[in-house]
Amino acid sequence: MTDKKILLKKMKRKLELYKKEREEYLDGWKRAKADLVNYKKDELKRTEKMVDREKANFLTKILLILDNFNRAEEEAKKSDENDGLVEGFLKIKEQVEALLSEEHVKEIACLGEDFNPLYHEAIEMIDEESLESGKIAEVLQKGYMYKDEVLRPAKVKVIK
Amino acid sequence: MSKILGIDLGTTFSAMAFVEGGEPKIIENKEGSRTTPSVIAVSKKGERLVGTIARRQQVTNPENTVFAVKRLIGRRYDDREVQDAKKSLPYEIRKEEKGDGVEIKLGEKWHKPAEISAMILQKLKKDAEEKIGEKITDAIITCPAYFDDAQRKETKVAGEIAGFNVRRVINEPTAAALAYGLSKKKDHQIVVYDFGGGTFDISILDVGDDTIEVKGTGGDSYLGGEDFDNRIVNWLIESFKNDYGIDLSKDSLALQRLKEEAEKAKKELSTTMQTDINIPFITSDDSGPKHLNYALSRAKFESLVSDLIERSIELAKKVITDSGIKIEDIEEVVLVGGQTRMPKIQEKAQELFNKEPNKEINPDEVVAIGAAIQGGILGGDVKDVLLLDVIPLSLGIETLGGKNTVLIEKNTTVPTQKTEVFSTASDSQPSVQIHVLQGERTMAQDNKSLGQFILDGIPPAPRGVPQVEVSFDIDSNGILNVSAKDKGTGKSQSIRIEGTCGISDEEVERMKKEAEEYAQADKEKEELIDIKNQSDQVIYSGEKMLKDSGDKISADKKETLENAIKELKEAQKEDSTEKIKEKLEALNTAAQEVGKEIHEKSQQESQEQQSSTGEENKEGKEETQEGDYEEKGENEEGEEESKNN
Repeated sequence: MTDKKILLKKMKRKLELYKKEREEYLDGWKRAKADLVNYKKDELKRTEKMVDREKANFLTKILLILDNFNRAEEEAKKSDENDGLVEGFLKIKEQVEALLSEEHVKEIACLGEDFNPLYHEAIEMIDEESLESGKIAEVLQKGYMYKDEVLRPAKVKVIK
Repeated sequence: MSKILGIDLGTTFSAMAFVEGGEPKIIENKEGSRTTPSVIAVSKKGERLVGTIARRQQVTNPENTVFAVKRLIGRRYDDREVQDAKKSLPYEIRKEEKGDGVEIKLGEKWHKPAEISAMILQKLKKDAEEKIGEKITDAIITCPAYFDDAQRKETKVAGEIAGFNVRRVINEPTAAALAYGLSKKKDHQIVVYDFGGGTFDISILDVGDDTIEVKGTGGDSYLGGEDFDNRIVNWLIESFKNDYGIDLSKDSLALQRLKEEAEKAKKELSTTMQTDINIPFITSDDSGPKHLNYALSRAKFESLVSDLIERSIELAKKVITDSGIKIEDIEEVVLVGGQTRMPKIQEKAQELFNKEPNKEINPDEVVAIGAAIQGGILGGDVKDVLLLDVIPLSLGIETLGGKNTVLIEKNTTVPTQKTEVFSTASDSQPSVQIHVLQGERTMAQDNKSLGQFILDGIPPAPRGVPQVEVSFDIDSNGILNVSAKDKGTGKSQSIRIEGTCGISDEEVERMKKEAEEYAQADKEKEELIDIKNQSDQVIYSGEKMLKDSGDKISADKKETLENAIKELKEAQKEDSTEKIKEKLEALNTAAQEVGKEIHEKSQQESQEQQSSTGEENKEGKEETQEGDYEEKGENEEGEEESKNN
């Protein structure tokens, strides 16, 4: 009888141990499964973000071409010999602008605005009495927003 | 327990990382960058600006924009380094009122360097918490190996001001060594060659039982990647001056554009031999706009900076001599800092130490990653709670032509399962043999055979039609179960193979090495098999064409086709990929010609038939006929070889 009791006690203890172990394993397994599901969700978000970032990188490269179109346009304005060829080039520039606009790229307002490092990068400070200090006097390179983020800050000259 | 953040608090840039799922990972800042400029400013409105935004307004607010504070932290005002730095810093610094430390003016207040560093750390903390979505309390911060006690203490204080419980301040070279897992290599001497944006540091480490000891340090705190960029900028300015007589160094916008392009060119020259620096409308004079366009070769760039590289090598030699270590005793070289991406630097480092340097981890991030690993070790994240094994060699089966078709790639974590559908190689093939292989070689015979079995009772069908599903299942103990099931009849067979992970390390290494050695030969063999298999397929359809529609083919075309088949069969006997390719093309052309003829003839016939039936169906009832179509699946590619046939 006592032997049986001891055996029963031992068995009960073992059962408790196994139950505990079972709980631990089940918990571990559930956690592993949940980790995977969460990882997948995170990875999806990360991938989406990465795609967006890659797109933004690519759009930034296009901006460099547009910058040069703008510079060419400025130069063309100085000359009287503007012909159809220049007009044609400016049409190409418009196409590039339209493409950027379709991709949700918007120009950042600068001229006459208060300098704001969130959107502008100061290249030089200049004296100009007609304007208030801290205002933007000249835009050296246009800045752009992509969706809600700064794709590239505008490079500007600021009034001292 | 919360995550421990690893922070590389740099002179020009800082980076942060943490361990997730046992792997270190860089955390991007709020602006989406993997590094943050170590710049702090107070705007005219009294706002505190940190990182990129602070840098953008530096020109408008130079006296209230603090950068390179790392050069001042923990130093005494009278230190030579502080006095040197003072000359080039646009912000105000003074001697502490109570003590001999340094104070920096920012806005209306005087701050200690540690307070400024704390502002950078605070931003990193906030951004990291936002990214991870949980509160971070603990951090590991790195510092240069040459930092003395006072500098380390101040670095720690900076972390504490930022709200961190700083678990450790570890050496940057030690962190880099940790990132490469070199701390496990006992009694190793390691050289860390750190060429950052603004500083060059060289350190020698000695890995002991539980410690990594710094045996020697040296470098130049005013030599860095920016000097390399400047050399390109100066070269461009000189060249332009010579060609156009215009000095671009006076034009702030032109200078800005030159700097950007120079940095871009430098980066490109790490992977290409030559790059074009093209800056349209860089300036203009009375004669009109001027464009800058120069080609810069890698060799030219190397000549522009050769003295800078030489200087770093000389400094490295000096540190080694001073520490009393022989160059031949150095077992590992670690490259840190973006500038070490330059091939010439890697080459020179390799030449000096006679060792292939460790450079696989992004050199801008390796220190932060090492700090995160240290954090992971302290937090218990790196210790594997549940050890998941990987299979050391690929597992596959033998397919048509004696090829090894891999089902589970090497380094796959187990337990795992993979299923693929195969088919028969000849008409009415009654059975398939599944031969399970282990190894990386292309040909079945060159791999280790783990076992084989036969699945029979496949009902007679043309080749490629029966679908045999082969499944590989490996459990966590490395026991492999391979089963094959005929999807048509549901009949299946399987085999159980034990000890797929139990293969000795030496054997795994030998097999991997062999696979590398024979890679080219294996590729050629694989091409030969593929082309032979393709030929088989074409011969089969050619013969089928002759058999089914022989009466519709003109005698000369029939002869050409027959000859082409014969010649291809002959070519198959010789093991020349080129010859088979040539004959295969000839057969393809002949078969196309025949196909065209058959098509034309059957169209003609159906037209004739239609005109006769059309007359019968004059009421105009149109009959829709469903066209026969064939679906081609993956079966064609992976035909199962049967040796029983």
